[in-house]
Amino acid sequence: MIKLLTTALFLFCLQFGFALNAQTQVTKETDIQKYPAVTKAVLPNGMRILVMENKTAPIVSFYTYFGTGNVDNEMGKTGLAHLLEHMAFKGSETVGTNNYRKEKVILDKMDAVAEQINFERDKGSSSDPAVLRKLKEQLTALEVEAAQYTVENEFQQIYSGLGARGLNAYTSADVTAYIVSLPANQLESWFIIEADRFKNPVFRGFYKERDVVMEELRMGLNRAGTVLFYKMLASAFEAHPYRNPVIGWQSDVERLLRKDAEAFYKKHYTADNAVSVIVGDVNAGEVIKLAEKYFADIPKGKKHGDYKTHDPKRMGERRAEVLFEASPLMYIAYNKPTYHSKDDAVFQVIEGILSSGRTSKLYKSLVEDKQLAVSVDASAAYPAVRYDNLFIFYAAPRAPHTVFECEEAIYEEIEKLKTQPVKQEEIDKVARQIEVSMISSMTSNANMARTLGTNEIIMNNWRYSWDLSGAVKAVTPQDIMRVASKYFTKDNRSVIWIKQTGAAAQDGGK
Amino acid sequence: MKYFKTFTLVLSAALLGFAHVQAKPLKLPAPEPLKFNLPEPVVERLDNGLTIYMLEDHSLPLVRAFMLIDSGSLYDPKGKTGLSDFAMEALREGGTYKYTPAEMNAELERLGARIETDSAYEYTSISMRSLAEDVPAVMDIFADMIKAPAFNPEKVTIVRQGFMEGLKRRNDDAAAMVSREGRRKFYGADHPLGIREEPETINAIAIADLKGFHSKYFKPNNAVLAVAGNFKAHEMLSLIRSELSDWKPGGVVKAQVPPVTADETGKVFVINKTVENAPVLILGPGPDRQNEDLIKHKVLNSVLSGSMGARLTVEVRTKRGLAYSVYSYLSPSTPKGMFITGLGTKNNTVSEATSEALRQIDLLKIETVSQEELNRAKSSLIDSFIFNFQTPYDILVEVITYRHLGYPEDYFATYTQKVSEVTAEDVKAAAKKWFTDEGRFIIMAVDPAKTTGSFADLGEITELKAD
Repeated sequence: MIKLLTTALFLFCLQFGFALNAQTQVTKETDIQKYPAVTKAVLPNGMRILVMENKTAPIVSFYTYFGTGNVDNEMGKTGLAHLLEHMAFKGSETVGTNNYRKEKVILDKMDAVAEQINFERDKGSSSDPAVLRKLKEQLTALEVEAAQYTVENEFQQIYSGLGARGLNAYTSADVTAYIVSLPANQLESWFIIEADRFKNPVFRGFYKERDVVMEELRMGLNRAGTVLFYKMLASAFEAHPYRNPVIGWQSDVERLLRKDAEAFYKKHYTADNAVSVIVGDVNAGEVIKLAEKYFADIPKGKKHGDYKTHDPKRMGERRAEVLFEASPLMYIAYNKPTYHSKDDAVFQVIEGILSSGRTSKLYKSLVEDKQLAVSVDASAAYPAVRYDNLFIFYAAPRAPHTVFECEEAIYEEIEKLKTQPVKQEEIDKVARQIEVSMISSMTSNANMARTLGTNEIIMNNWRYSWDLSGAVKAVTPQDIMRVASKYFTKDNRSVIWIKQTGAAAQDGGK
Repeated sequence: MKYFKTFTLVLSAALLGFAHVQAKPLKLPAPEPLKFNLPEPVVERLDNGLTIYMLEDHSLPLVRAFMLIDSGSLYDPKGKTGLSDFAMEALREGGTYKYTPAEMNAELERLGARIETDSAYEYTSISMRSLAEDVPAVMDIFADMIKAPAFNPEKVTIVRQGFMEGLKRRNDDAAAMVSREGRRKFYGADHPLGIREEPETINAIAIADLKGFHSKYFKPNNAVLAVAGNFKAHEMLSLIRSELSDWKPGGVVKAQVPPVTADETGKVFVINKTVENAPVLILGPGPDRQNEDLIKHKVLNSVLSGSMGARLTVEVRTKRGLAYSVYSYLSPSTPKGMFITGLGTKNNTVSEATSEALRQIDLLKIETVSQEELNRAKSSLIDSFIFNFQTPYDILVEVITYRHLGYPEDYFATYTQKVSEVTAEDVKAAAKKWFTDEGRFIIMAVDPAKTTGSFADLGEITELKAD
């Protein structure tokens, strides 16, 4: 009875409520026992809009995803996608300047000088410090000149004035996301601002922002865990660009140019490579109308391939120590196929059984029974998911125990997984935990938008997390044995750890 | 319920788009007025003194609960610094009268439910998350943990080991180290707000102390419970009654917090550490929660660092490229608030970046902010406030926490109004009063091998060893 009503309403809306451009395709989820009530629209230029209504509070979360990230950087230009993300806050031909015509002339001159600086620095030991000094002075002088036409941080100030919360962005290896939450009565303003931002961007203040990103990079280098993670990626991936830190290698970031960012933008920030997700106190029909009005003329973009260097065949275990002024930590990484594989759900279950909660295998063994570690963790999909990735283990040993003792204890649990079928109730437990997690994440507009957007932009399937939640229930003990045996082998692992240096180490770790 | 009735008005007023800044470059439509009525929570008090706030939320099949207990690390006895943190962890890990740790964890994880504890300076808490259908089972564990924790000795040992390892690692992260040591200098190494856990203080904590902590503070008349989710209020109340009516009330005596006497005016503390990006803190006095200047100071701080368009961000980060992270905030602790300005910069620009931050702080004492800038600062404050209340659960937690921390009774009701009333002259006066050289000092971690020049221009240098 209720099903009929729902269908009838849906048809009604389709016929009368959605007065749309005939080419925009709209689908509304009807199986709302299984999936959240999401409406998806595909504009004629290929841009996708996902809308989920939530009238609990008069606020809306907006997440715009581009299907590009630091994995798409060219060699020698690592960190570009991330720096570009910073530049997307610098305004447009309209926002952030009081005279773009005059400003543009100076910005172009700055680019020329920056390129000359690169050319001179690239000479390495034969570069002339006097020449470099002069060029830097020129750049500074141009920055001062450009400043008179700059309205600093105007983009952020516009959003502030609307009552925005959480204006931000992030770049992963896979994707770039632009985020903001607004009161529900500012819906159209969001479209106007974002359309202007992405149609007419100007990457002003590029070289200063490059300095800012260098500080961000340096902050990461302060942290043992971050440094070890970078080293782990570089060990587990020999050639594939997942080996590069998302923030970039220092010498690459220092010499990125504005024209690099513009080229990257033109290639990757296209309508067919974008999804905007809107979750909150909105009306789906109205949102889609606004999207048609403001986003329909975002350019579609040229088709391009997606080649990434393949890693050569593994030829044995990799091991390395990293000297750092901090207590020991360890990562163990196994190479694995990504979500395309039919075994994706199996890896999720393995992650849960090994590492989720106090009844998990690793916690019980390393923290409680053997008391080797204060922290131990397993994760099924690092650093990202567009390409084949890693199943990683992490351990922080408890002095005087060592990373190597933790390592052996981890292998012990892995061996059990290969040879002893787990109990069905353990799989059920993990399935339940994932299910409750999914429900819990739906309390937040922002979390929902993030999940929906990530799924849609990467997998072209916003339902992916919910499908996975279901697939997890069908995983068998035999699946786990098979997958563990195939992938958790010595030859397939990269082991990397922090060895403590400095005064504390000399004191014997007191 | 005073907090909620007037809060409705607050929300509506703010969402009218207070301090709507005319966006000159883009033509944006004027917002339609928004109306929003928060549901009133059901408030009950059990005979044993436990106050319960409930809000129904039928959007998801979920229930969340949060119990706040009037205790905290501020009241750790001398020689046993860390007692509150330790006790709350041990409470969670150590099992209960009815459930062994293994039984409890197995049941919770089978259901995908969660119970976790936390300890802060001025309160401790236990929170619960469960699917609605499992609430009776999860609530039974929750209640037993509150009434009758067992502090299983083996689990207590593991918790202790965790603390000891944490102490070994406490200087691994330079920024965390500077933050902790800065607090120690500001409040004094022996003052409850500044004192640090040490191996000796952790080792001095015995199971008897954990049990003593529990019996001293865990009383229904010393706690507040908030519950939100998919239930009917009267049924939830019945369940809570059946679980917690037998929890015995009693008297509570908390230690008094002594006045703060530490004074490190003008000093520059330098800790040598291998860092690529040197964390720097400028610490100085600020109003506490009860101070009449609180709102004015918040607006002042919003001008300084309340958004990406604020002074510190624009001058230190955007224009000069000296930092990625630059910020300021008030920690309004009673009896003395602390105002923190922080940044991270490469070693050889520490002096330059810190000087610029100080200049920005001091400029606010001399110059009057423009109306436009003031409006932006206020708007930013009001709207970030609103977004703390996304779900009924968040609303309840926020309200009971603020109330417990001693914010004025009418804090939420008058917040928007008070912020909107702050003038540019108020901001300047607050800067003159609070951004004094008196009580201000600097602390940093730098790599001596990579630092050019000295920091003598910043003040009297004192080297600190990382211990």
